[in-house]
Amino acid sequence: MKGSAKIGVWQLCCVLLLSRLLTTLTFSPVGAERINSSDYFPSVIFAAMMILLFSVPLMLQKHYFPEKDITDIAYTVSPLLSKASSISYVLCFLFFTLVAVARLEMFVGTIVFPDSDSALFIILCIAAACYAATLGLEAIGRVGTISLVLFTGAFVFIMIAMADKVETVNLSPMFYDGVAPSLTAALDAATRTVELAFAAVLLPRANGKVGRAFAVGLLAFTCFTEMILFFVFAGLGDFAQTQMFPVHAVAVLSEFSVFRRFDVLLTGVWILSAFIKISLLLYLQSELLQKYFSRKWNKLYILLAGLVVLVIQVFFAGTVTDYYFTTGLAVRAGLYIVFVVVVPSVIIAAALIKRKRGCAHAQNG
Amino acid sequence: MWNWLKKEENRVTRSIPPEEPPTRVYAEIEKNILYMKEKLGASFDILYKQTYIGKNKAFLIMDDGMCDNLLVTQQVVGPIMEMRDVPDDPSEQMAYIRDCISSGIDQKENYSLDDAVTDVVSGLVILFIDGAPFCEAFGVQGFPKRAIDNAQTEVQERGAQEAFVESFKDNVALIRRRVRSPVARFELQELGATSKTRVCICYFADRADKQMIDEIKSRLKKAKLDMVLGAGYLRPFLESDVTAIFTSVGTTERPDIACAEMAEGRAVILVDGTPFAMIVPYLFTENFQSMDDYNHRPYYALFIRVLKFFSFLISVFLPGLYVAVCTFHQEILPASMLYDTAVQESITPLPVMAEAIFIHFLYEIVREAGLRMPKSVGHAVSIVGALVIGDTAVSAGLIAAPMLIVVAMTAISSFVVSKIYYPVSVLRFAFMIIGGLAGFYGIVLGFGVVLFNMCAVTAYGTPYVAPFSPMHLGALWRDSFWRLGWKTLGKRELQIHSLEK
Amino acid sequence: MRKTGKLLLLVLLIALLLSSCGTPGLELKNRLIVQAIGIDETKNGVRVTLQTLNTEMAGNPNSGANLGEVTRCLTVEGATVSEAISNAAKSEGKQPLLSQNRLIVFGRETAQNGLYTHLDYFVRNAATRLTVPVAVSDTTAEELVSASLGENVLTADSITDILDGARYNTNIVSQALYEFVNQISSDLTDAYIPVVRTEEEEGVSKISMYSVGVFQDDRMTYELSSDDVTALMLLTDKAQSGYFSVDNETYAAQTVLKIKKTGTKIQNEMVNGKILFNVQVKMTVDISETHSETPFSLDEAYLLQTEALAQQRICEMIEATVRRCFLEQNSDPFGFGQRFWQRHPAQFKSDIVHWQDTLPTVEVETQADVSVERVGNGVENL
Repeated sequence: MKGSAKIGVWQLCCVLLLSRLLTTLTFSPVGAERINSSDYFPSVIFAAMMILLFSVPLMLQKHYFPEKDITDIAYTVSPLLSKASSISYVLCFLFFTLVAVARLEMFVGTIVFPDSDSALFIILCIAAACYAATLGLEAIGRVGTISLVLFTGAFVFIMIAMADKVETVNLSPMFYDGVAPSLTAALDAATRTVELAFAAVLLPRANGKVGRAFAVGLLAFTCFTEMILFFVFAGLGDFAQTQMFPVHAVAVLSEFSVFRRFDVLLTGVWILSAFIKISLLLYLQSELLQKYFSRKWNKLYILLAGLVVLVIQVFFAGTVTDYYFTTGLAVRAGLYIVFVVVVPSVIIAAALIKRKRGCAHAQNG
Repeated sequence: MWNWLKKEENRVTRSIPPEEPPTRVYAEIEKNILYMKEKLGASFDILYKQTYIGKNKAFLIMDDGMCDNLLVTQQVVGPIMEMRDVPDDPSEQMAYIRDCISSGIDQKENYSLDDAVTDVVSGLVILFIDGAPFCEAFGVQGFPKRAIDNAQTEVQERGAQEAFVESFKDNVALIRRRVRSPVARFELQELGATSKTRVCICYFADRADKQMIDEIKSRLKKAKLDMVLGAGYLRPFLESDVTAIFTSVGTTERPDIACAEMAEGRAVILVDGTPFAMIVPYLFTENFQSMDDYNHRPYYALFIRVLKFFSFLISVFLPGLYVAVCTFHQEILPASMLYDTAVQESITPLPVMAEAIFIHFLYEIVREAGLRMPKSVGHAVSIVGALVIGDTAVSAGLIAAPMLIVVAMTAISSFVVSKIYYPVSVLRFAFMIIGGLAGFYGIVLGFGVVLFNMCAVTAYGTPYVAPFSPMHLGALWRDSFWRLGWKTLGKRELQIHSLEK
Repeated sequence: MRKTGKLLLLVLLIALLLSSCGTPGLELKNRLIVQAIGIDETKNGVRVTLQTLNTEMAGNPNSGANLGEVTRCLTVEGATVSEAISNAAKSEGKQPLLSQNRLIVFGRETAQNGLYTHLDYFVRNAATRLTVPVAVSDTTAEELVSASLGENVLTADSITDILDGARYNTNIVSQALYEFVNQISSDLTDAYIPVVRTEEEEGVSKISMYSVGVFQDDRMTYELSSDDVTALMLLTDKAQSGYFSVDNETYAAQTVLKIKKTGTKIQNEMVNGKILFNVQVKMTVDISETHSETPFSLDEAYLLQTEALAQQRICEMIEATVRRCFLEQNSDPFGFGQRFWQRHPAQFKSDIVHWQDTLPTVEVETQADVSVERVGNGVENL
């Protein structure tokens, strides 16, 4: 009745935190920089500091253009720049949708249904995500909040069940090979997903104190990741680095009285979180495309994006998604820096310069 | 294909005729009587009495079955017949009768003949006087109606035992009796081109959001229906999203619950002829609340609400999870249970998913039969259900004993939260199919889809899944899974529109 | 557009449902439920022995009929473990369900030849439970897994029950798969798993834990005796409960002590270029039994002496085991190397090339603190 497209900033924080934590959950030694187990702990703190640094363009965006997203800011410079930035963000989000789907497919194909063809499950996921994306940002925000609570509950359960298997003797000495491995792992962790780019598009849609929500979100990410890594490495030791999904291995180990195999819980929150992330990405693509094409085709954009991801994943998975997992840190970090730091910085700087010139002309004229 | 379907639909239906402009009462009585006879036809229950008031011809029209004959005689016909010293002017006569002769309070003037027709069939007596450009309607209704009875669908242990009845006036009285305050408002609307059913919107003026009330009225006005025979006819017009799985319009049979909802700033809609009131906006969490929660101690309320919530989860997910585990995820089963389940399932001819769907479908048939069949043969259903499904099917090896346990648990659990029985029944089947095709993965995805469907609904500005999402810690703390004691709860009332984002 | 979109979704849904008419899952009736796996090496590959549950009943389980044997044993061969297990599927017509597997056993010879190649299958297979216990058979894995322990008794259950006794007995060791793999791939700590044997008595097999096999790299090179196992459990801080006895010459008595609580702290330091480990065992015991030819009262003097003797016993036990492992076998199953690496990474990096070579020079000092808490119901011995 009082229909508004805005959501609370805490809801947005929950969704982005869930998306970020999914990356922690799906941490895999495949394609990652391999370091001693204890070096991961400082790397999380370094990663948080890097994220804080990389969020400077976002803070500038909030400060100087509170009611505009990044493409709207680009529009103040030139419509062509806005269109170009919109399309490039769409492609970036499409790529990360592909990555999210590929990771889910890898998990489903390796752990959940190792004997079945995973194409069916990918189709189901994308169909469901397309439907969810059409329901809008409010629905995504609310589901994200509930899912984060479920996620937290599942993990508390798993950690309690895992508590008796933790042995600090399994940990390696910190900084055994210097600080460099921790810094490399930090960069890897910080640049795995582009939540800051999501925020750059969704910021005007959030009501409330953004700074506080961002700080709490970053702190929550740091604490959670530290805890889960502690349980992974103190519980499993170096065995963790031989497993495709170490966090899942921890859940398999967890036992409590007659209850075993808490990996069911983890599988559930994993699938749910991945589903929400994919829905959010499809929604973002639709939102950006609506700005420059017809607004009434929003569902078609979602469907098209979903179809593109489905076709690539089902028919070309071997050549495209492998690329992401085996490609070096430099390329992954480069992609991140471009879309999270460089592009927003350039657009904001250009917009500020144009605004100042506009003011100067107004004063002289 | 869609156009063809539309054409077929048009062939068997006709559109509701547009509203015609009202016909004013004529000064000539003959024209009025002719109009009335034309509209009311030759129905045997419509009675016409001609009389004279002074020198002016007068007619009394009533519907025999809808009026209380004693009241008609005592308040209308008798006093009119015994009138002396009446004025000559017809309008003055009408005013004299209204103010000095008729002893009833329920009276009104009608300037429209259409209103007069409606009043006749509603149980009022209409008086026409030749020369008067209006008629007088006297409220002497006395149609047959059911007495106040116990609530059939919302049984409470400690709460009041009264329930709404079909007469909306009685229902209003039941609410008024509990809230003797002028803030309680009851606004009437007439819906249904033919049925002209009276719909009453009840709310507290100091709490309900005015915009919400206007929105409700506007949505009801947009309901272009021919007949409104139940609250369900109007529900789709009041719902915020008809594609939602769970409805955002609640119903209650109990006046105490209706009052409690109104006290939270909601609107209650009474439909004449339906013993259920509709509540808007209605949140998902309210399906797990009942009046007994507020009559018991808070710790028991917590226990019961958690029990209801888990019953809901069992009734939706248990069969699907069982199918998924037996088909895809056998590692989850504990060792001892695995062996028994494997042995039992090995002798059944059907795959687990088919077995689950079959037995649940059979259960729904038995349940529906039990609901519809006459009470005198009700025990036959129990015997057939228990023996056929319970004993014989398992002994014959048609279904496995664990499956029977699943059905039993599901069935019992679904009646704990009976308000949402219907969507739960359908969801159960959906999850059984999803579980059989895609295992736990499919069930989680299905859960996600249902969650999205629920979260997408905003009922009159209030999110359907509030106060869980968006999270309102204050509301959660007050009255969600647990409730505070009355000493705290009673200090202030929760306002529904405070949950808006 | 709306209609087209709806039509597209409908087509997708139909395709989806029809494509899954043959559901990807396998029901329990089509599964071979594996309870124990035994691996023996052969000339051409491996021999895998599977103990499975017999779910094909001779009659209807609901009719009370005699249903036949609960378990069956299946022996298959193949070039690799995967091939052997797939041969099992071929011969039985059912897909093995490994996620309910409760035990992995290797034959003695197989363990002595190396386990890396065989372990890889279990680490890689998503269905394997990481907490499944691993053991070595005194003879062959086939003999152990297919041992008949009586009607309707699962060998896997019996063995895992024995290994679960590690909670009550310091002479029993239980190692989960993930712990074993962790240790076996570590350069510092040597892995160990229990060696289990079967004995036949009047036609019925009995299973017991025989010793603990220690692995250097992935080969089992030596075994630990009963006292060594107790020392191992104390040094790895895994001892929970158990019994041990001390001889008291003054009272001409043997006292059996029950361990109620025990904890071990190990500190390490480098002193004058030598690595020193300080082991402190703190234990609370109850007197469980006393044997003596003459009666005596369990007075304070006796208790103090018992405590001193117990302390001495523990220290001797630990020192003997450490000596044996470090000096005789150049082996460190206690995790001392890991601890040193953790605490002194710089020294480890600079001074140590191969931890096993350093072992003969490592010094271990042991201190035990035993306190008797209760003497039971009797104040005098009988």
